[in-house]
Amino acid sequence: MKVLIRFLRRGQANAVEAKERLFDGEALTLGRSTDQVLQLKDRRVALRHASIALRAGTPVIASRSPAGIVVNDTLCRDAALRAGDTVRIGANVLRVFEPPAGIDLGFSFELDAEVAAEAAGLDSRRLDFQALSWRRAPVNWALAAATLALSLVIPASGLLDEGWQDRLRGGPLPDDGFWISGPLSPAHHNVGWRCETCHQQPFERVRNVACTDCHAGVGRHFAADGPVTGLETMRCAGCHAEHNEPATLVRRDDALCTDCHADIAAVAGAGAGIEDAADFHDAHPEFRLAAGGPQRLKFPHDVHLDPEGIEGKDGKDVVMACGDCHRPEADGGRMQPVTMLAHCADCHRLDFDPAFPDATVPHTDASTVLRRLVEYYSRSFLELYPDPQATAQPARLARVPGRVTDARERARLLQQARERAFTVARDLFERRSCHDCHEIAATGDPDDPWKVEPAKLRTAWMPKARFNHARHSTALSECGLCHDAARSKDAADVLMPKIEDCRECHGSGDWHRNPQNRVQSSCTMCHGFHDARHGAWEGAVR
Amino acid sequence: MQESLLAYRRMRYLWAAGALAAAAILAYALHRPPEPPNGGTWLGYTLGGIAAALVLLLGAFSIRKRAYASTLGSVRGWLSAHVYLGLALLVVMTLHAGFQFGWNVHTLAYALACVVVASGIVGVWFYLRYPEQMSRNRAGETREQMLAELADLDRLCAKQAAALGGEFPDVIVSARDRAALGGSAWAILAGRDRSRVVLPGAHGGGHAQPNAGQSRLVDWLGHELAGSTDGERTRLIHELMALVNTRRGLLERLRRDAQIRGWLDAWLYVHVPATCALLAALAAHVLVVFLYW
Repeated sequence: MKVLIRFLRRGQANAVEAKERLFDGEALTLGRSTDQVLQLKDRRVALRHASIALRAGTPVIASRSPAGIVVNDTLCRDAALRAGDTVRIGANVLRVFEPPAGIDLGFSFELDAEVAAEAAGLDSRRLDFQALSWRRAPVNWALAAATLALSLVIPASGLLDEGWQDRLRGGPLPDDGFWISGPLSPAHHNVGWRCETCHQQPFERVRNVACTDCHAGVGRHFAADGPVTGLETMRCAGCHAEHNEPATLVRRDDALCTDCHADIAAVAGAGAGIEDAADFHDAHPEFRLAAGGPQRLKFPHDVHLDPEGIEGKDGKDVVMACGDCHRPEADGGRMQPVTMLAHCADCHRLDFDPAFPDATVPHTDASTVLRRLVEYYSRSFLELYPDPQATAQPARLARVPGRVTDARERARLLQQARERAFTVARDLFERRSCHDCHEIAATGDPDDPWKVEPAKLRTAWMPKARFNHARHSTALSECGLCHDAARSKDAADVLMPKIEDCRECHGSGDWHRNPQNRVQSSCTMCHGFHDARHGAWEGAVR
Repeated sequence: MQESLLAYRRMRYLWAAGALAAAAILAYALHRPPEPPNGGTWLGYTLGGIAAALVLLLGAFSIRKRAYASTLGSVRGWLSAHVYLGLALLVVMTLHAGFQFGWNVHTLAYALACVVVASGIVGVWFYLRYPEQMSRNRAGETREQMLAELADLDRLCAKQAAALGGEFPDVIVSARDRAALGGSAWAILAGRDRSRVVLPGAHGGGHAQPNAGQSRLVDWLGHELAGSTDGERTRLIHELMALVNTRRGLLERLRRDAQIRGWLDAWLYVHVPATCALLAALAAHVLVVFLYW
């Protein structure tokens, strides 16, 4: 497109000075910006206000700014330019004339003198950053208001209405989840991100009932009639702090215990009979084993653990190991109880008559055993009593079954059976089998002369401490390290480790005080706080 | 100004802020709360209270600097304290948070405070760096003086061009009209010379061309000078070149002056709005902590 531009400048006495310029290009741009082909003046003109280009051979002026252009006194977005048209953009006036041959468009360009004078000088405002930037005050207020609305007002509006709260939580607007001060512990995810489950009253600390609503069975620290009363008024959240990272719902620091137990007399009184404990490393009382009477069992560990072996059920020697009798519970913690049936009976059989090695007495109280023996021999004497001396089959039967009809004969046989039963029982109770392991007492009653004192085997020597055998079963720690069983001759020997044994590996709960090469061991490693044996904490909830 | 801002009264506020930060760090290191360190332990509440008080004190600087009648310390002292205590705030609030962060109102307040402190550090850096450059650039002149000088030069150039006649008046007028000087906030800050000039015939064919540093105009003048065989004309072109060159230097200084002044203001366009948002977020943070206690 070729455009002839005739610049008109009015001098003194309205004398017009004209200067022509030929433009040859795709589009003739008009605007206030310095990069425009035709630079317009007047502040009302946009930087890139309009452009003129050929459309199907006809020059068309099109607006590039929202302000539009005035063609022949009509405001429009675009217009085809013909000779005689007048275009006004601000104070700039374009008058289209008939172009010479070979030229697509010709127009004169003139500027109002006043505007030209005004725009000629450089305005210091152009260099004033503050004047050209946005005004700060409205932005400041808007930002503060928006922040307050998004972080406080909108989330807080959910507290006014439950339905609105639910819609807030389901929608894009910020809800009270924006107030969370740290991640919710995984254990509490079932609460379903409903803050009010625990934060029941605004501006009130989480109350214990919020906890015990779900944790109903949580145990007390000691019985309700215990020596201290202040404990009931403690807040659950005082120890169980939510929204922390890393998530630690349970206090495991020593201060949890030692705040009171370092000087327990000051809290519980001197008469409570509890010893001070401040640090496992050097301020912990010797282990106190559960009280109880004698075990009443004859059991030499050393004989059973003889490395040469001990006579087994087939008469062959077997070498026994601890694990043959002592097996941990399913959780790996304490040991399962040792029972006669499961652990002893294989070798210690309760047969009583060498002629009938398969016949055994039950492992129960002496009266029952005696009665069973009498019954056994009565039946044998009255029915089938094979001759113990018989060496070949068929055995010589002393009686024909069910044929003893004579009352005197029956009485005689029963008397013989009873005597036999008592002889065998005396052998069991006073010389072997029962006598091997149990203490047998005489009752003085000729019809029921023996009493077996039942063995009392303990499975929990330290019921207030946690211990897990499985976690301690490493190559470094075989049973004998803690339990000196191989040299024990008497079942009455207590084979529990002493605190020094534990201290060989376990140190202080405070890493500052913990010696090198010791496992840092806080109170809670072995001891719990809540103990359901003392009843539920509920009674103390406020 | 630039030295005394940081060195005010033998850096008394540096020592005060440093002592505060050191005390906070020491307490944090010795503090062994039962749960992970957070804003809810006694030390957490203490540090939070100190941090909130610091924010209010730092914000009060904007009131004090406008209260010309106030005798509550000198503004210079307040500014010195503002700078150092702002840095201490960074330490105190981080320890208050116990290094726990998340997508929540609490971290929003923390992040806004970081933005405020960071923009403040930039501002201090500007104030240490730019005033000297600015006075060097101005060489004892005010901006109005420079603008008046520019107008004089424009007039002289136009007169010289009119004397030369031909293409000269149009070229000089286009170079004047199309000299870019500021115009928008961004143009001022960027400081790039987007000047253009329309040169005749083979030099541009009537199209506007980039004229950064007036280099195209000088090139054209040089070309005209080389082609001149008339001694008087050569002298006139020489003089015009000298004028254009002086004008070029003046434009450069004006642009630089506006740029420096612009940057000295610009950081406040982050610092102050972020402060306003911080005050709102801080209020929400404190209220919410006790709303869901």
